[in-house]
Amino acid sequence: MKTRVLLILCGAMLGAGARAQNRSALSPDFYTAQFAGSIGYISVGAGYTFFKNKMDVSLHYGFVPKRMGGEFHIATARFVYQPWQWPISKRLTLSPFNTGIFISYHADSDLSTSWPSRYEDGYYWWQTAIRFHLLWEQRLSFALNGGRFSHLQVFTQLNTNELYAISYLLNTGSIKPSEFVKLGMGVRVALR
Amino acid sequence: MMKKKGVFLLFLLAACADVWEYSPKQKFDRDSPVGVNTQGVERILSTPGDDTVSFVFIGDAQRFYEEQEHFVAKVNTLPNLDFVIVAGDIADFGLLQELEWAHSRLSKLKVPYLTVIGNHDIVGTGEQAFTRFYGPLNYSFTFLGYKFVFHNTNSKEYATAIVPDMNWLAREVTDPQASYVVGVSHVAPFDADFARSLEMEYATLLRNQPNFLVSLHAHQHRHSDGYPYQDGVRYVVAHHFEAREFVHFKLINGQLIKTIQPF
Repeated sequence: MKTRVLLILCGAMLGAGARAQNRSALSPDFYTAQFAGSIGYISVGAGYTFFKNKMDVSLHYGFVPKRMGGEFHIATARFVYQPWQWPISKRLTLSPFNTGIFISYHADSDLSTSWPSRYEDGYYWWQTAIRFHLLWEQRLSFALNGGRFSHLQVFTQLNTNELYAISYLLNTGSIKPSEFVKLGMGVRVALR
Repeated sequence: MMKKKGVFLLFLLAACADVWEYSPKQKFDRDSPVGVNTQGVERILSTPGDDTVSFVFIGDAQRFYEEQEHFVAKVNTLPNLDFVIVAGDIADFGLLQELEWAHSRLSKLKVPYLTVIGNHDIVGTGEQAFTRFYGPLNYSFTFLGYKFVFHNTNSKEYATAIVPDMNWLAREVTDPQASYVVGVSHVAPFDADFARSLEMEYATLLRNQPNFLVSLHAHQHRHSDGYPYQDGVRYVVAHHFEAREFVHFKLINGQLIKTIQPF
């Protein structure tokens, strides 16, 4: 049930943009496709940019197949701040210091945003379905001539979530960054 | 030049398969081991042994990674040790990553370490991750005549009283092949998180086995050792890792010799 609601939501969002030939106010400013990065084996998303391309807000649907450690359906809301872009050539810009947060929701019968009543309040202090992540993104942007798309971009994204971060902060002498920082990569197309 | 460096860095990152995470709830990944307990038991049974079974007993490793390193360093100095028991709560949040963090430290022990599932290992998708990582939740083996019976007693994690599996337990502890029996589980029957409806059945089962030596538990984060039902059955609750002490047991001719060691 949870999964179905999630799929319909994401489908509607992606569809709204895909149908728009002339860009309407509602159609997304960009689309993404991503591998790994803690929001699915493969995920797709769409979003808007604000403040002269300095801020991205996007929604993603991710899937982890059973043979990859799933099965999971994941919805993610992501906020990325791009403080500066570094022109490499006429067409190419690099923004290596994008930062942001994302919130992931797993629609799964074993995971929940609350605990059953048999537990006293605070028996477990966290919940299992929603995770809060910090991200650091590197984005390489290639400007396109003409057509529907203005830029083709590739990005890599490092992230950790609040439970990994707590484990690290309590064990800074033991856990290494390579043990709690996770990686994803993807492509992003920006619409004209 | 810049681009080349970038490509090189990407390759370097990509080389560590562990960093490509699909979900923090993943039940396994490309690097996660399968059946660590099962392999540990095989290793123990492949050693010739002597007249003494010597093992370290501790519990609740959750979130204490620095302490795990100190623990390993100390335990590795003990001579003639056969194995280590970590009596549950390897993870705190039921995440695969936590099992991997713990295993990368505890697997540096010279002897096998065996786990039994704790309530924190079960939450979320934890039980599925734990089962693949360590092996069946109820398992047993007999070494030099001593039968060790590891079993899931985390009743509170299940909506109905299906845990512990009393039928399985009754079959295991009444094994005529075993000279002595040792029980190992996370939640003790006298703990509030054990199914009340099964407490007396459990205690009675152990009481009725004349060769039952000791019932080992954790969960309470406070070491205790005694006869709570005053029926001759001894129950020992382990130290947790933060206490930086562990119990060292030696079994000789059906006698239990216990020492407490700091680390």
